Amino acid sequence: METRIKELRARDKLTQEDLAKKVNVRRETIVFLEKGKYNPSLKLAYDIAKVFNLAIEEVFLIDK
Amino acid sequence: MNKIKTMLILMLAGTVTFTVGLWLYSTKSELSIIEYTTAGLVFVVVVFSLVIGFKRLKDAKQGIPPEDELSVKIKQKAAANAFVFSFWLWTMIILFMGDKEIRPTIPIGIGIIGSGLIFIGLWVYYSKTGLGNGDSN
Repeated sequence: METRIKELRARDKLTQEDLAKKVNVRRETIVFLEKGKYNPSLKLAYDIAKVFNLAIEEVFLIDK
Repeated sequence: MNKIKTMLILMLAGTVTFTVGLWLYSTKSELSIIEYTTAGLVFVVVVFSLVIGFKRLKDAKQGIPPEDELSVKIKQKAAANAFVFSFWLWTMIILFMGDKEIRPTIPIGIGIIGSGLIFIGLWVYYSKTGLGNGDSN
């Protein structure tokens, strides 16, 4: 699964650590999410999308 | 809860260090290479536990959660796979040491410490590589 987290972080000038603190996870989790090496829980996906004021499907691009 | 967990990790590491230290100190006879190796492996497990424990304390001070959903899943996957690998380890121990006349505590010790080391190895591996898309759900 691809994500737009890196792009959206850059847009909002957030570091990985800032985003991690906002959604209450460790920075490593954000790193793996950006690399596409981890599928988040629905709650984490929702929290991240909420930080960027977007819908989940606009942040996480599910492969067809 | 996380603070209690961290204190338990540190207390366990301290207890194991004290016990192994007492065992080495009170042993009257010359220690064999297997016993030195066992003590060395216990030392590796203890150092790993101390590193984890102090890292958790440092993270807690900085407001970083010591555990989150990914770290819990990594721990669970490492534990599940370590359980399977430890069956192989025990089979090897029985095959290679089953007929030899050695104290029964030695193969048991190797089995227990080996299982711990397998868990540590897998935990480090998954922490570096992540779980991949297929494993994280």
